[in-house]
Amino acid sequence: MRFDPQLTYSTAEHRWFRIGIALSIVVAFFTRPITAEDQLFPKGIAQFLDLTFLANDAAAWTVMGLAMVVGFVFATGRFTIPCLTFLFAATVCVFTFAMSHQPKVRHDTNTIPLAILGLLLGHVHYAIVKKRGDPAARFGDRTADDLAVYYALQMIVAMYVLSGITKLIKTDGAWLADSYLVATQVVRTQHNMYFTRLTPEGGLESWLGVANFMVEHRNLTRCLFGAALVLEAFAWVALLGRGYALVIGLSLIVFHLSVFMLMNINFYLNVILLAVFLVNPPYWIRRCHGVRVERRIAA
Amino acid sequence: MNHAHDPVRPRAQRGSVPYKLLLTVVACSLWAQEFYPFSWFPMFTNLQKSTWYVFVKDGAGSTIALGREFGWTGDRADNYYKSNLSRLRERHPDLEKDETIRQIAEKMLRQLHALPAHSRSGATPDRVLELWRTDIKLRDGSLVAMDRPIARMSRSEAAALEAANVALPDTGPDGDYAEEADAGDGSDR
Repeated sequence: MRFDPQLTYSTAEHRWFRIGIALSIVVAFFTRPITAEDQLFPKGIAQFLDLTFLANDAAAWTVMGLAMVVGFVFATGRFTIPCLTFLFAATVCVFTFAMSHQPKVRHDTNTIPLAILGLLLGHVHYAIVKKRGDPAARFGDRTADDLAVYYALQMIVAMYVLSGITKLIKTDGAWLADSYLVATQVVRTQHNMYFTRLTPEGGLESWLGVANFMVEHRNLTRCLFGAALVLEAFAWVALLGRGYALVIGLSLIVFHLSVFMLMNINFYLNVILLAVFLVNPPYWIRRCHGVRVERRIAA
Repeated sequence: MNHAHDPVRPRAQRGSVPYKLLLTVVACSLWAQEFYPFSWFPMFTNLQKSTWYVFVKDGAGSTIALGREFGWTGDRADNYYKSNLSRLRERHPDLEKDETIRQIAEKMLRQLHALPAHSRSGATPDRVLELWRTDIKLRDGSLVAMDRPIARMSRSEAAALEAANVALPDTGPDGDYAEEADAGDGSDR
């Protein structure tokens, strides 16, 4: 893999990124509807802004409907900065309100406004530099779109780096040693799932057995969770180039799938954004196709 | 445009931009205590040696499949109970612990008895629901589970409370309790 912090992307890739963002917004709005009616446990900007107007279904769907339309316009490549500004404001408000009614609630939707903020900062930064002079002197061959994607990538990996650092800071470095205690969360989650249908038979005992295996084989558990911690803390490696991004992106997707299987915590919005920005299939499909064509020509 | 010999160009080629935004976001989030940007989230840092959850049995002591009988998931029932406890304590910190538990357990059983899915299942007036709590604790190197009942209420008792317009505890509007994650709590709430 070649170190290349100065990536530029093709038109097809940029189209893919834009469509990916627009689709992720639609998926988030339809799969994670707002059910909150207050913000008794305000988080993020809800600590400073009263977002309770979104408790009204008509208001919420007006904001979300507009955001979906704006997302479509953004996907077509028009009015980029205004579109991103609106999308950022709308998504951060909707998702923050949705998770401010309970003390602890799923937060995976915040990945979307973060990626949008990255795109917006990239475009604004490029526009400012362009206004002052020659952006090529600052950004090389990168276009505004290239810079925006690079910033979005940084925002996405920042979440993982932050998650890894947080685990260490908040536990005074003891997280790895204590990671076997995730077993208590595993058994709680799996038992809760069991009570939905009382299946599979013997589910309570078998998951208690799995959790006890994790507790009794602490070093093995520490190795597994330690690998995940390293993956999170070193997610920034994805910024070094497409190959690195592919490996880190696929690894993080496998990590999310493992968490889902073990703890029933579904981070599909993260998976979508990882697939869009880090795995970036259009590039690899085109590259594989190009290699085949080159071989055919050479033959 | 070929910038290969541009004297200003090397700055870009060295990649002077990389990671500034990443470092800024990480630093600002840590400073603002937003461990998941735009939100507060423990990111599984609250690992404890114990945890607990609630479930429901009928009067005969058989565990009830919450999905089949009420259309609820086990997660939803557990989060409903825990979130309501948190909300009541947030609003009325002066309430005794046992009183808080009693009020929320009663609210939950009334809620379950009143669910349309429960009515459709042909529940009779003497149908009893019991709320149970399981504590999972690390003892002598192994996890052990201990169950104990919290409250019980028959369908007729729930109906009488509804008929008498006995107010539910002040926990604010109900949300969707199906989506809590990373609870990480082993606290004896």
